[in-house]
Amino acid sequence: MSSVDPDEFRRVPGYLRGQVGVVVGECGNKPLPVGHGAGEVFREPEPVLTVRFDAERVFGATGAGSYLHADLWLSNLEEVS
Amino acid sequence: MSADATNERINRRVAVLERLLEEKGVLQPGELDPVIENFIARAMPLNGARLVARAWVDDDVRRALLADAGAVAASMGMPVGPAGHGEVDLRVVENTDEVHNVIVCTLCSCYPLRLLGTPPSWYKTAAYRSRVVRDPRGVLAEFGLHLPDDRRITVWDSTSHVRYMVLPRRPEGTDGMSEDQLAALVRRDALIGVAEVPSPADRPVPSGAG
Repeated sequence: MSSVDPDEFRRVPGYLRGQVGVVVGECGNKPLPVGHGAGEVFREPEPVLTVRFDAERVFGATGAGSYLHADLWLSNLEEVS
Repeated sequence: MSADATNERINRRVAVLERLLEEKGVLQPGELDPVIENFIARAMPLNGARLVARAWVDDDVRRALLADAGAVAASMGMPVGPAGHGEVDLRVVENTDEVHNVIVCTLCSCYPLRLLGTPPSWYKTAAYRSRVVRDPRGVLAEFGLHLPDDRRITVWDSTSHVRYMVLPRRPEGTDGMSEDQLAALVRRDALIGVAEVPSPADRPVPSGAG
């Protein structure tokens, strides 16, 4: 998950920024929504991937034994290994 | 700010926007109300409950639901839409003895309305949305759902066009029950994942069921 906090809203929850997760599924190609409400625009379609995060790594002890999943547009992701 | 005050502000904004759209000729007067009413009238948790009951009695349907929930829902006359833009996909996630699923939308309040009805107000609160990812086990316990320590909790954050529904575990003591009887056991909160479906031995079947 990219740690860059862009100036625009691209449907990335802040709590996942910079976190490492595992791609566990894909949801097809979808236009990338950018911005909020009436200012929202749609960019070229990109793959949307379901990414699994270990909640304990993200939030510490309260996340022990839990996974978090989010569906993220590819351009928000960085390959780590 | 209280939820009521927030709703009041949103209601006023919506009313102004609707009037402006009508004045500018984008919408005909009264065009929106029947569209919304028609959608809401067909959006109810019984739809999700029917899918669950069907999956409980037919393993082929269960597998199909987990593989392509949108197709199964559409084939039973309850497509997931409408969406403001593009298609909305449905994904059903299955509770087992090892895994418990719960849904949230941390960015706004995405919710499979057609299958679950209008969302409960708590689902839209900042408290639920921020805390269920941070402390899922604690939040579920506050709902009265105390899961064993070895039950993995899986939180699904609806950040894209995918809407989630939980397929709860079929409770004990329901062998031989009809699909309609089973559907009557399934409450909205179990489809969100903040509750399980109680065994009919623990709670009487509501009157009118079956």
